[in-house]
Amino acid sequence: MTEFIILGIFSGASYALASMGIVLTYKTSGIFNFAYGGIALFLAYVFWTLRDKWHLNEWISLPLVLIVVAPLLGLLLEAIFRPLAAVAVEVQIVVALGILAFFITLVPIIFGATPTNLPTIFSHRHFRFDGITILFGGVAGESGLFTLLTAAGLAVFLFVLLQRTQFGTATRAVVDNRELAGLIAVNSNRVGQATWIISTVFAAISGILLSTQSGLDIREIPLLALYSLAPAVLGRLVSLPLAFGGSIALGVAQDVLQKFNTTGTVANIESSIPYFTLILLLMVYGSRLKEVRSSLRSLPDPGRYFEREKVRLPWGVGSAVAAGVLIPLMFSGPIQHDIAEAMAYSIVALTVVVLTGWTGQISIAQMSFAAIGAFSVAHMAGTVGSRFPLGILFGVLIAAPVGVIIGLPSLRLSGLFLALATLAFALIMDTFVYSFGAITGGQTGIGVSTVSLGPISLRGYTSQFYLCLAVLTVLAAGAWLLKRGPIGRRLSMVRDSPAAASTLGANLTLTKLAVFAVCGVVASIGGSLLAMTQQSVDPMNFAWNTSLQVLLLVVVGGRSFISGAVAAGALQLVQLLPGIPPVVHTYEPLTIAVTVILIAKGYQGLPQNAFDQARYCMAVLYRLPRPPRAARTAADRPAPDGPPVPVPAPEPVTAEVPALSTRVTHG
Amino acid sequence: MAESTTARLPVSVAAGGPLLQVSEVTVRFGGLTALDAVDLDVMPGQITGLIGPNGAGKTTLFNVITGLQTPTSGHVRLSGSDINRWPPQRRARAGMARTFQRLELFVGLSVRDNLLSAWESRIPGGVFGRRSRDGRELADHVLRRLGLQHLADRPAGELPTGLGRMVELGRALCTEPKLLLLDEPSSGLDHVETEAFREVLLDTTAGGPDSPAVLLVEHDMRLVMEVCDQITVLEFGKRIACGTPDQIRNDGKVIAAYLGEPAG
Amino acid sequence: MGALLQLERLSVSYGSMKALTEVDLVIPEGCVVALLGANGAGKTTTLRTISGLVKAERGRIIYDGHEITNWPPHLVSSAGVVHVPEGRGIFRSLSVAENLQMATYAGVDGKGATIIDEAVALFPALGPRLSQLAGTLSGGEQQMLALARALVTRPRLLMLDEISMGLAPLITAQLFDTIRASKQAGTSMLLVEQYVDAALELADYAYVLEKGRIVDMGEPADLRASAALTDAYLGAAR
Repeated sequence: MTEFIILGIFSGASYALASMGIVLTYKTSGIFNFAYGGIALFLAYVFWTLRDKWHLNEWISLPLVLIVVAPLLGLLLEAIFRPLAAVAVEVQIVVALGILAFFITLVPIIFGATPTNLPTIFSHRHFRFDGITILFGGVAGESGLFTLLTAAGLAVFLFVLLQRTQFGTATRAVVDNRELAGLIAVNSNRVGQATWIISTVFAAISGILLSTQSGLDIREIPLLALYSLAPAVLGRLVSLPLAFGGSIALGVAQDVLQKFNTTGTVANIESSIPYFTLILLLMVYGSRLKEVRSSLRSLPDPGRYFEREKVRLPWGVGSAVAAGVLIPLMFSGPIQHDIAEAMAYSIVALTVVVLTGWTGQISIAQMSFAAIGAFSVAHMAGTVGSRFPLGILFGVLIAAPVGVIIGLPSLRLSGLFLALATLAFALIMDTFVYSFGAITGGQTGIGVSTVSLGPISLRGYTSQFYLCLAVLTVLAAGAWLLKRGPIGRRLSMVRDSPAAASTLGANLTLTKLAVFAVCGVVASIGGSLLAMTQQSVDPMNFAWNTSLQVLLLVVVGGRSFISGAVAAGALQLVQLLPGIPPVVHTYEPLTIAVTVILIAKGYQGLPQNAFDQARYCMAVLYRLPRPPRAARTAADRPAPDGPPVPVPAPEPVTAEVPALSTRVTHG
Repeated sequence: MAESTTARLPVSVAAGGPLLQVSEVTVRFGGLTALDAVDLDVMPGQITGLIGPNGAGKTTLFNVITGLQTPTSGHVRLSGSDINRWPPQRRARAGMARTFQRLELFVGLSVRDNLLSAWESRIPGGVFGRRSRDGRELADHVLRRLGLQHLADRPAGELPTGLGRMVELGRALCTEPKLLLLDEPSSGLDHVETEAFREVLLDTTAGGPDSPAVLLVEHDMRLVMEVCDQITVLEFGKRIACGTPDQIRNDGKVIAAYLGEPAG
Repeated sequence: MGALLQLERLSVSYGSMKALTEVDLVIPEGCVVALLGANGAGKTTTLRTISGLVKAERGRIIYDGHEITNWPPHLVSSAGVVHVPEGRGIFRSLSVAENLQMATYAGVDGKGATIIDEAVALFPALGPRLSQLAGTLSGGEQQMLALARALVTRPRLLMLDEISMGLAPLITAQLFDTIRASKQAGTSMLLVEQYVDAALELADYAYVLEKGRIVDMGEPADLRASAALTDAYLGAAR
């Protein structure tokens, strides 16, 4: 028992590093760093590449990562996020998610995707903890203790830095009241940069430490940041001590549960407990988790350039009919099949449009709903294809109540915290539900035999194509009609101003629950069709990162337009089609991630920021001369004699000022 | 709708009592007394102004009336019923409508849809399009009175502040309110826009038993003095004066509150 | 006597809302200038634009001969323009002493201890409260703290925004005594104040804003007699 508790404390220590890093940047910049896990992953790979490929020993490569690479990355992130401080929270979330996707897709491209087992950093001769080594036998205990000591040391470092130094006072002042800090000459940008640097260095440390324990695995390291979400929320994203304590408690809970769950009675509960805790915390804190609502600039929508108000229903249905006629004529069966799969994907994307674009509720869980439909079909029609419609129906019947349950947090949460709740749901599906072999068929998934709709067999590619086209067209047309009616108006009220809606007497509870339920149902139908086209259902294809991918594709395609969902499907098609050069396959997700970041930043954020930086540097160089302090004290400066000279009008002074000021033009 | 509510009105209103009656409302935040036993009446068919220097408690009182703030003691009555514990939605359905100091438009909807959505919110089940023709007619009628017909299909988010304020007024009117609460409607408006708003306000609320009573919280004194029938003045959470614009303008206490006692 | 601060045709908008329109204003060195007008007239916006919290749309801000239009706030304040903002002018979660020590960022070349001594000399009431969190002070003490922190940085231009808001008359009088003493010491000031008479008594010159435009200006004696001032506050009958 003690053994498990100690091991739990060790694993909690790595969550502590991550949650403190996340809390630190949220406190000072108001940005929730979803990308933390991706950053940790990237920096861990950089370190191991330097050490094992370039054969620099750790005394060189570790400082190189921690003192050069991580701080530079931190500065870059700060430059990306600073201009977003005043924009809508959805923009911040989407940019952070885009950066997460960027690193997760970048790492395998640069470094390869094979998990590697690693030696411990520093040879045993430097760090030998005999007692621990004897107790737990070797490496696990040793690096665990090392992690714990590092985490505790960094926590103390942070405490001293924040409470005992002038920089710390300035940081706390910026957290307390950013504007006022600026007014008394604190350069809050500098403070922001420092905290992003610290947070990124923390990410590097936690990534490297984790990789010594569980190997270098592109799946494992990002999970670290996801585990640490619950402790971060426990401290309401501002308390470092609570984040630290919560992480340790979580680690202990996990390892103790693992001890009692060796038989797997409650499938894999130890990996899903952080996410159950996260949802629980979000519900308990509920409305107390208020974020500052900044609605200055909302997320730009590229769809606007392609679809104007005037795209009408007949036009949309017409192009669907045209596609129905032309595609089977123009393309071979396998391509039709790929198009069918992309359209099933578009149906899932359609729910993202309705939820995120129309109702303003960011959901990172739509593929989890699709999984419900997919597994229902797999179980119903896996062996008896004629039960396919029954499978769809079964999925719908499950998805609707689950949708209502996922909608519940939206009654009390919005923006970031709702996004976190949906993410927690997706992760519970991944780690808990999918771990029941009876549901998912284990690692291999479940095969789906040839399905049929009553007497019509759906074996042929063309028939699958027509089915997907018909379902997509009907659902899209339905969504289009609803958007223009009272229901569409109700959704816009939820998105644009819940405050105004409630003072008009609108009850938004039903609206929110219904939209989550209906979107869950539609996503489930999309999932059923995916199961049909893929002919097998693999939980990997419905994991949280696929939901993230759908969200990003919809942002690129145009999140408030039905055409955006179709575009998302088309972008996915690129991944499916045969004959596309592999380089496109490799770089497409990366391009999507970068595009999302650029879209959210309105294309001009970075250059603008760089320009301002340069300008302010100039201003500092030309810093105004300040008279010495003595000159400005009462004793040395005579009070203006007699009645002060009245100011006649602005004009006389104007004449002399331009001559002076031309010297100091910084722009 | 109007008939059914009149039938249930208590005697006080039928006999010409106030539509909204704020009596002895006190709000304390910790040790700070934001409102101290404030009384305020809004009579049917009248425009009542609520003014006072910064920090006098106008916003707190407004929040008490709209239900965002629960008073420490005292009562708010609408048509005679005590609404202290009613949530904003219920107040809205009982005939209260408001505008916001910072625009709270449904920016993604067209101007007409903003108005329609208000009408639909008022009717339980309005979403399902029963009587949708009525709503459409009402929205078009209000648009015409506001002079916004030509903008009906424009997205509300694209309008300048002055027009946006009008759309908010129209949206409130589409709930067919008995009491209209306007929170600093002229803020952010220039002279011309304020003038236009004044015209529309007088036009949509003047005359007829159907037109709503108005409570106007406002700092543009010119507007207040021109449109209000009655004015209540707050300072330091207390009511220091109450009367017609002329009485208020010449009230020594009000002048002192705004311009300060001669110091020293 | 030169102009310490000068606004030239300054215009500011919040989105589609025009907050300031072509405002011209001059503060000569060593003078106290009052900015008057009803709520929402643009007084606070003027101050926030000078200190860099709000971006100017058009026009220029010239301080001590240098153009400082749209400089970030920390540079403006390092140059000696100290703005005590409306309402919450303190860091509530920092102790009183830490609040005062923040003044060192504004380029005061003293040690924390000297600064605290100076502040306590200005407002003895702060003395026993140094280790308390600033958020636990009374409203009057909070304003004293805000004003003390501004004054110990020895500003060249002090901008005070409604420092008397919500305070009892006695405390207001005490704050004004300190401000008056600072004026005697030669600090230039831009004063936004709801108590018009108190402001006019202190000021050498005053501007009246209405709806973001300067509608009147003059010496206090002239303004007191002017109709524009009463109109701006109490509304004119048309």
